[in-house]
Amino acid sequence: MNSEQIKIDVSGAELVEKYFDMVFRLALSQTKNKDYADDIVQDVFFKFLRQEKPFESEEHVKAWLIRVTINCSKSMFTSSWFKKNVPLDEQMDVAFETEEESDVFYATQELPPKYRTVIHLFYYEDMSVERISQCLDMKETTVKSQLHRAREMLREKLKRGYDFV
Amino acid sequence: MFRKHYKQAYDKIEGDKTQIARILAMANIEQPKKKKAFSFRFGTAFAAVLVLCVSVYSLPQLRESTEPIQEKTTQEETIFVPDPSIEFHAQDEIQNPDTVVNENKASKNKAVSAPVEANESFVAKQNDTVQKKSETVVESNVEPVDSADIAQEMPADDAPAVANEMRMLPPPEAMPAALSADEKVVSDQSSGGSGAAPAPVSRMAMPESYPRTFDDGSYATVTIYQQNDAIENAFLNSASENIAGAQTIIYNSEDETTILVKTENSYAEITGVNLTDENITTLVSEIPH
Repeated sequence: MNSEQIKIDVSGAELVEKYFDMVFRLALSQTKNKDYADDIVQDVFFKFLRQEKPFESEEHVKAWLIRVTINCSKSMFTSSWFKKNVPLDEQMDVAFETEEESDVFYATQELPPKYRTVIHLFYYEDMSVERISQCLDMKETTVKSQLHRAREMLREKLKRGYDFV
Repeated sequence: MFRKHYKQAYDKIEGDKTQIARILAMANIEQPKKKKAFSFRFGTAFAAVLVLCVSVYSLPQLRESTEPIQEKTTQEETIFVPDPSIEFHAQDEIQNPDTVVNENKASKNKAVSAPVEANESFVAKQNDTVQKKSETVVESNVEPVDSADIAQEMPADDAPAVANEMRMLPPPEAMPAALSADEKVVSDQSSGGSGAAPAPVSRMAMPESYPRTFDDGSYATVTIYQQNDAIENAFLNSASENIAGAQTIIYNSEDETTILVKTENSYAEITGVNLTDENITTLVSEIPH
């Protein structure tokens, strides 16, 4: 093993404690369903514990988890089981404190999946365009263009003027 | 603003962290070993290939296993079976002594006019004897007569021919055992004369019969038997004379001459026209002694 590569020994409990929220919310932004998000989190953590590839740092672990979460979300949508089972078309019963939270949440839910991904990583995970491009294996210009289009769509949906800083 | 609201909105939603933690703890996931993975994959692939090979290998075997059996059965089915109709034909011959077994016998019945008991008994039993003789000479595996000794006593020119003829006759020991209704009867030989369709019979079962002509225009038909009860009875009931080392009984008629010959190993019946003494001597000497 390379000296620069240090294997991150993370147990199941530590894994849940550290990365559950991140993985869950990312999966939620992809699936728009709480139960599906729980399943994806379970799959991601199982894969993490089974794989032997050593991680360079925690940032590497985080990037790996994000990538796998997005891939698992895509796999679920393309699975035959998902296609044969029509999910209940109901909004998640979430008690938002303000109307703005509700509007922003449901507005982003209506975005296309690839736009939801970049929006979530940029605004919730506070990741830079460069890191997003590395994590998603995309060009920075692509990430920027997707962010730009997503903001345009949100501006149309959200009646109030939001500054997308 | 958007970032703030977005974070606040997603913070409100939480997943079942405890359940996930419990599931992970219960799973007791171990780091997969390369050896285990390799062995599992290799074993699975090997098992799949083995099953495929066995299935492919077994299919032709099944076919081959059936083919020989089928061949055997077909072979068994094609074994030649004696024609049962021959038996009936033979019985008809026995019941109807007037039916001539062969042309020579028919002509003989007409030609023989000597009021000798032996002659009449000979004629009456002629068909029966020939029939029995035919029945006994059906088996192709019957031991041929040793023609070596016969060839030594015969003239050099005729020895090979006679030896070949004698070779076709079964030994006397085989005669009683060969008497079976299931055997093919050489009445086929006679069936040629009577006009009936002959059944396939080995030539070796037939009494040897051959024509004989002489330069002076006389001719004769010689029929050699390995065993002939009628001829035997004739010799018992009549006086015989020795010609060329064989016992003979000569019956003369207006049209033809019949000569019964008895040697150590065979019997013969010679029927000829305008036979001189020299011819008779020659014919008798040609018979295997």
